[in-house]
Amino acid sequence: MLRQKGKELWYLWLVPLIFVGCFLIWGTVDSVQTQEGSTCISCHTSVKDLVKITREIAAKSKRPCQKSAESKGEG
Amino acid sequence: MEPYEKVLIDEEFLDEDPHGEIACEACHGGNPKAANWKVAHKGMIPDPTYPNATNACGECHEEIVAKNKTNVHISLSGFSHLVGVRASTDKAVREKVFKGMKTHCFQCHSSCGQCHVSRPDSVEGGFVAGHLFHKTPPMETNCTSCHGSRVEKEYLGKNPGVPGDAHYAKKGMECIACHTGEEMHGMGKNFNHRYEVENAPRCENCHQDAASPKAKIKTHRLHRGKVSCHVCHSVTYKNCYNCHVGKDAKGLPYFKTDKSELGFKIGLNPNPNKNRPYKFITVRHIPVSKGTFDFYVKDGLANFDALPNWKMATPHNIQRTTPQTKSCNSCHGKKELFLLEQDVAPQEREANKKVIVPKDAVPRSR
Repeated sequence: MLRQKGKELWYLWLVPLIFVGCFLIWGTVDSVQTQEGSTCISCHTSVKDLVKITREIAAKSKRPCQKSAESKGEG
Repeated sequence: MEPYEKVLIDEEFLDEDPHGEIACEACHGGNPKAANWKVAHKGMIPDPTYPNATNACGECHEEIVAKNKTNVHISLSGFSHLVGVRASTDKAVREKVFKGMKTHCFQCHSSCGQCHVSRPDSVEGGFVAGHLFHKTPPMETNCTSCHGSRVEKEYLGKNPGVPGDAHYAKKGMECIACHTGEEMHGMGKNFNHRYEVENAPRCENCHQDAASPKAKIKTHRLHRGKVSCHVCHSVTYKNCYNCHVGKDAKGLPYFKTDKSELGFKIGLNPNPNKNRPYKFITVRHIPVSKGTFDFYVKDGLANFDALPNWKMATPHNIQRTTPQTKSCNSCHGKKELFLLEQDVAPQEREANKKVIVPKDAVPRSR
């Protein structure tokens, strides 16, 4: 009789397998999103984007050089 | 470096460097999901390793980070101690001196990131190689970008007419060959001066025979413990004078120093100790002057005379053969090599009385 019941509940083994599968997929997707797909990486690996942004910053900055021109001699 | 180059990440960092597996915001904060760069950079920390590297590096490099606060490149304890000794004892005046020091001197510091990832902030930063981490900081982009005026020029032979250090010129040794990671990372103990750091390099760590009472070379045996290695084996080096700091009309900090001069002077050791028992040492004029902080407060360094500003030096231009090693009388009786009273500005004689060599103390010719 027990053997008969075991046969009926065989599908319960799928539950932990589905959980593990979902966890692995979620982990991979998260890692890809935070690195290669993130705003930080997509911009900081693009020369074109960085040139555009750094020029934008330089154009807006009223004091492009933050070092005093009065410094003289060897530090 | 072009501004974009300073922050351009090499894709190799993401593929090859274990640090590239960590999400940017885990170390730098900011908001990676923001739609534009302005919002994305809000709250972003450019160097997450300074002043405290615990969050960024501590999880993996726990032991190094624990000691790092005592690393003199971070603590700048030498500056604080020496300026503190020279400063006025008046609390209000002292505070103004320290404010000046914080604005100027304390801007030259390092951090984990400013050695292993970027050039130091004091030379306007920028990734050394696309955010890749270097286990050993490159000498030319990191060490000498700060230690450029004196050490670099001496070591690489950039002072006109003066040869570079034999350790570099003949053996190609870079800074790290002597100044190990252990020294750079701190010992977990505070020191008042870089010369007190217990694991700092010593010539005899490698040149054991030269420091032995049974040294093969007679002059090593004769001078052992009496003169520092540099007295015989270094050549002309740089002296700096009269540093003044202040802020310009725009509020930007500046410094001004008088013209540097090349020279070579042997002085008395003002503080003989177990590690440096020598009577004679090489001395270099350092930039501090009585008026260094005049912009912030008059007579800030009221106790200027408490310490010499002809200071023990370990010039980085070691040679096997120097003008001093040619014969006994290349040094003995050669008064011009010694720091005599006449070599010291009258207003600095009191401060340097312990290093000035009295004429009758110059070793007699043979």
